[in-house]
Amino acid sequence: MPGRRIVVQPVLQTIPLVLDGPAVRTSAGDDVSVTMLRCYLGPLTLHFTDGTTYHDPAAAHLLDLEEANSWIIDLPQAPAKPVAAVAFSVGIDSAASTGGAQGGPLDPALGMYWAWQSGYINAKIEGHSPSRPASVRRAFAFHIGGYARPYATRRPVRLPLPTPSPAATLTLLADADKWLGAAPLAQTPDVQVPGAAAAAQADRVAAMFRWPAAAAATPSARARR
Amino acid sequence: MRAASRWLALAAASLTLLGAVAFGPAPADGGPVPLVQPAGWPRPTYDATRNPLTGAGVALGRALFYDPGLSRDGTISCASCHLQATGFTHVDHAVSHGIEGRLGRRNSLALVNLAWNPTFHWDGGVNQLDVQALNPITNAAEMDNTLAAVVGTLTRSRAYRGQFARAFRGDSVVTGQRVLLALAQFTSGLVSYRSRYDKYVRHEAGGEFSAQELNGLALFRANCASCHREPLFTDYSFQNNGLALDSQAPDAGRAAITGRAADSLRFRVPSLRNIERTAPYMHDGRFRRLRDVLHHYTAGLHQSATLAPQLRAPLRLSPDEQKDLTAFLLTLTDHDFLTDSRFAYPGAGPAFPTDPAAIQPIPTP
Repeated sequence: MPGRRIVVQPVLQTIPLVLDGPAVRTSAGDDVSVTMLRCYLGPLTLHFTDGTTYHDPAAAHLLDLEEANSWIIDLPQAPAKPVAAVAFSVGIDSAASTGGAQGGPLDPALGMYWAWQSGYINAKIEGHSPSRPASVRRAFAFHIGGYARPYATRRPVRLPLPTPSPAATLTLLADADKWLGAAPLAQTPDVQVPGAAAAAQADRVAAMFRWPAAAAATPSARARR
Repeated sequence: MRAASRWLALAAASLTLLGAVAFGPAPADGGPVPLVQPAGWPRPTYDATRNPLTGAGVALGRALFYDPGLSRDGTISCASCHLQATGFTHVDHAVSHGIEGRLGRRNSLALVNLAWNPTFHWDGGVNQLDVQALNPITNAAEMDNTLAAVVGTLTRSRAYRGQFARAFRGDSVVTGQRVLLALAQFTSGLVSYRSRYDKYVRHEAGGEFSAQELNGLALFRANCASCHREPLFTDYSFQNNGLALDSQAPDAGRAAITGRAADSLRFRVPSLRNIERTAPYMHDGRFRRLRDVLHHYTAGLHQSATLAPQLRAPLRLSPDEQKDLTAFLLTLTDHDFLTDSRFAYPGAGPAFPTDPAAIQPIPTP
């Protein structure tokens, strides 16, 4: 197949993240089992070593732990030049959130659009953990969205490759530990409305994306507000 | 005979004036229909270029609006709480009941002139007509369903697939987006602009006001119109209109959406069109009668930090003035809208097509 392929690999630290898999300990010390992970990436941009760029024509990509293929993003028209960096947004831009019913990857039937307060949910993670009291099904749930300032939750991410790569397939990691391991669940087990807490969570969602350690001499993922 | 032809001439003149009427005459081919733009009104906020109205799209939206198959257990349709005869709201229900008799939290809003709304719901949380329908479909106290499940149900219906193909350029695929767009095609056409008040301001036949109604209009303009602005009878703002907080069902209103303390206890200023039919009133349906509403504004205002400035002092209206004001409010009843056959239950609908073979001729004696 001509063009380029970006594969995103869901992990928790170094362990592949499996839906309903055995519990894994986060950096915050919680043993978590993930029952849902969905995240919107905006259109990708490939930055080549010669200073040119390639813009992905897709409206968005919905990564969903229930759909293995959703983690593979094909860019059949992208040229075979060495890639210096990959850039994308984590989350959907505000024009889509205010533009009424959208289609394709943005179809509200996919469950990533809020009813009571219009706008996309940019990322969802749910699961259970013994850190949570039994009375609430030991559950945690983060539904992160909101497009209005000052609590917008879309985050631009730019990941420079440690070494420019001509490879047809580039593999990124989405490390759920950067999200769930940023704070103990006992402190914050649930954020499901736009606001300051969601904006803080959005930084963690964006921080999940990085190149694998083998490819990266130093961690180079950067997420900016 | 002469009277009839004069009436026809007047009707023709008013058609020209309006440019288009409601959806316009439904074209037999299901083709494009214009959204009504009554004379003297602002432009609609709904961007119909994104969702061009067609006869087939409106027909599909109407079928969906009246189909209880949208709810999880097949018992509740949009029309369950939005009845045409009562201005597309739920008469006699302070709050409505969804599936399994579950009670909602707020009074069902009248569906009227939605194409002019900048926001939707009592708290304005919804920013587009298209996506409004997600709420009744998914709210646990209403239809308690998912849009994905609705798409599944409709996809299994051959008749609905045919309707989607007619509405969406020959493509029968049912998607969440198309369900929402079709519903918006129907609901955006629910335009009320033919009340006696409208005929009065347009100087049309049937628009004569009595002295009492004229005085009521003057009182309305002096006391109510700053928020209930003509011709849509709302300025689309959110206001605290002095209702005492219900301690058993506290509701912060707009603040729940914006997170701003200044929006506490503020709710949408509702349109007053068809107010004669849309009781009970207020976001929680606490007032059953118009005179209860007038009593509230003249003698029942509850002071609080976010109370609308216009209501810091009660309205001063004598009993006679209250009668006159009420007489004016009754001129907002739009009988043509309330009985328009294009908005009514479409019959058994496409989900249950009549099988001609099942119809037996009646034997002659």
